[in-house]
Amino acid sequence: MGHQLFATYEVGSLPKPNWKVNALAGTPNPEKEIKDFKALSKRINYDPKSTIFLLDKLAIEGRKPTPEERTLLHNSTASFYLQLQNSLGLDFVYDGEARRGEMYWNVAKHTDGLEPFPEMIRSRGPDSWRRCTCHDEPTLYSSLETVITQEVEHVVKHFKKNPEKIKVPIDDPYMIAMMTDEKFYREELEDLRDKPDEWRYQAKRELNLALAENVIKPQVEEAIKQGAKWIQLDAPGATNEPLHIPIFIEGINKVVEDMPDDVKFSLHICYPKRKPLMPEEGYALFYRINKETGNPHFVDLNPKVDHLSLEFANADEYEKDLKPFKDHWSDRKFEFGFGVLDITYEQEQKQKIETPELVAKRIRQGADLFGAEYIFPAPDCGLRQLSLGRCVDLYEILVEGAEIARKG
Amino acid sequence: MCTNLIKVSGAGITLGDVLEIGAYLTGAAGRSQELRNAFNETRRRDGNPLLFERQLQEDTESFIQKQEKDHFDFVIDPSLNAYYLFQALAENVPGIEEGPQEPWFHRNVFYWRPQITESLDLAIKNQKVPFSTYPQKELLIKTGKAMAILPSPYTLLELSDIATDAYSSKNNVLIDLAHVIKNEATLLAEAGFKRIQYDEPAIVKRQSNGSLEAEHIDLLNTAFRICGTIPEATTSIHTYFGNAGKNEAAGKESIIPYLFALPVDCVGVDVTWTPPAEVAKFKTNGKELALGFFDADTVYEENQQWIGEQVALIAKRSKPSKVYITPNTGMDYIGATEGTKKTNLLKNTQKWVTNYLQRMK
Repeated sequence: MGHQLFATYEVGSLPKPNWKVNALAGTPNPEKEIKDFKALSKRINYDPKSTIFLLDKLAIEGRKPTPEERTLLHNSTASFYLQLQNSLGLDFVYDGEARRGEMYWNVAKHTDGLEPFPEMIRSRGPDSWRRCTCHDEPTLYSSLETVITQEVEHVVKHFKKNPEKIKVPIDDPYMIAMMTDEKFYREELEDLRDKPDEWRYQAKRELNLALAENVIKPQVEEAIKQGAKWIQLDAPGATNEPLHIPIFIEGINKVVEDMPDDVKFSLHICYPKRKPLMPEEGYALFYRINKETGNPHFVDLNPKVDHLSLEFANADEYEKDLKPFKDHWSDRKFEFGFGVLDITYEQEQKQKIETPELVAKRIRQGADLFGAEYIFPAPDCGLRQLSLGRCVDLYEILVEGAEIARKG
Repeated sequence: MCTNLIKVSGAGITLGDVLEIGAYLTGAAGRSQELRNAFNETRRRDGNPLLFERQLQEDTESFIQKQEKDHFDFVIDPSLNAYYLFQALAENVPGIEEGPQEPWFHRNVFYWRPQITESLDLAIKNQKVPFSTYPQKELLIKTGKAMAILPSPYTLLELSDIATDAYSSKNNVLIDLAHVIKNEATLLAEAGFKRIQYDEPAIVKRQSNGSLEAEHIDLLNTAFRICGTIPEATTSIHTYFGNAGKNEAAGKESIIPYLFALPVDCVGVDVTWTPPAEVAKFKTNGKELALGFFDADTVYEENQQWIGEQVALIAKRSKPSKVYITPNTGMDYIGATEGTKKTNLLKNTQKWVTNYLQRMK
């Protein structure tokens, strides 16, 4: 996979643009939204005419879009985001997950055996999510087209001359398992009730394996069929229960086994538990010894997964966070999607943002430890909770910081 | 205070002279769809800012009334306007600030790690009013059985960062945190709260993880020597999200005897993580026991027969002065509707177990 040194990439989602949200809700866009859309389009050399024509049409007719028009809106947002990242100089791109809603529900709603709770569940401050209960063995019931085909097909078409620029993010099975109430498997394994630790562990494991085999793997296979050469498995909750890390690793291995050698696999992990009440904290949790295999957990990870996209900037404890990887470098080497930008909403509220020089300093810190060829500068995580203007600023700082780092 | 007294004594299973089976809720409830809609409406630029406040008052009132109707032994505020256990502290106590976000144990829920940024001396001296606020405080207190839920100083210490040179040791930070919490508990008791529940997940999580050492138990003891006794209120240490029993794999003995030796009136044990048989190995020293049989993570329906058997075993061997059946923690993670269903199951189970124990006499 040819690329320049300190190649940059986005991690996943971008915010839903206001013009699209309004249009989907059947609300006419205020003039300012259209003006901003046009201005940004000009800046990134994107032709917004067909989208604006559709927005005007919906506003004049005072209605919500038809299914065909919804697809057009999704496609245009995806194209806009691809062009945005490409024109701002990112080396690997995707469509900002323009067609997806919230990452858990995006998978859960296509999965038989999972049923949503009546209300949203609070997660992070006022944010909430649509949690599900597992009532039966989970299987992907929707047409695969709905889930991943349209998405990847569209992106590959956009970059048909250079499909290696594309990195497709797909949820890892453990994230879904961790967030789901495993009721079905609790009932299946009720004989373990007197050993609650084991009961909980085995129920989560069974759910995770079923998700890996029946729900996540088919999506990965479909993405590859559509031409994807790099799959990023998103695992934000991998350390929430540190004693369950073997379950997480087993799920990833199940997904990537038998996959073609010419497809690259990476893991995105963010906000690891830095207060797990264990001797190991943060990313060091992945180097605890698995009692069954006798190996550090990451050594048990299928070698096909050779790249980790990690959050570092929010905690800003680079030395501490990088130490476990350095300590085990001889056991296992990884490329790093190196989190150099704090993407939390609180930073935007406080109007704080990294400088390109700080980004360059962080990149060099990683390069000095592991070698420049292992460092891929990136934001900490997806940007969906931020304003679009903030995302543009972050991308520019990322690209400029990488350029400064290249010059040494 | 007890509304669910049964007397079980004599032949058959020996349950002690008097065994009381009570029940209560132990943490935050989920937001109703109406409250969520009101919140979203309030957030909109042109939304009515009073909508959320009105719905919050209404939902809190309903939640308090339901607990009264169910004759629970203690009545709590559902924390519909708070997002995490340390929020009131971080927002109101000088020297404690919000830090980076961190997952709350195994759940897909975040808290902000408290940062101890300066000596808490002044905060302790100047604390004249409670930092905890309640949307329906008067109604809550009027029940005569209001319970306040505060972080245990040990858990607060373990999940915070010490970002100041004002302290020479963790122990000194803990002592000040315990005084802050004690002041708060005292002020709440003076205001009419009858029970203070200290949420203590960290000590049992350490035990589950196999990382618990004597120094951690010492810290816990130090904290509870300061805040375990509050004039005009009873106290409870409420452990959850971990197995307090023997951890054979890590070679760690049970910490249940240490919990039973703390200067509190009640010990809460999360028996969705701790095998009940582990609890039954130890005498309570006459304390009350709150047994968290109802798993607040899942809509899985707990089995009444099994709970009855476990309560009988524990009552017989541990000889608590009273047993409460509770959820292990707040049911906000299963939402308002499922939380209400589980609350009803809790109430029914309390009745069922009461009858079961009477039948066993």
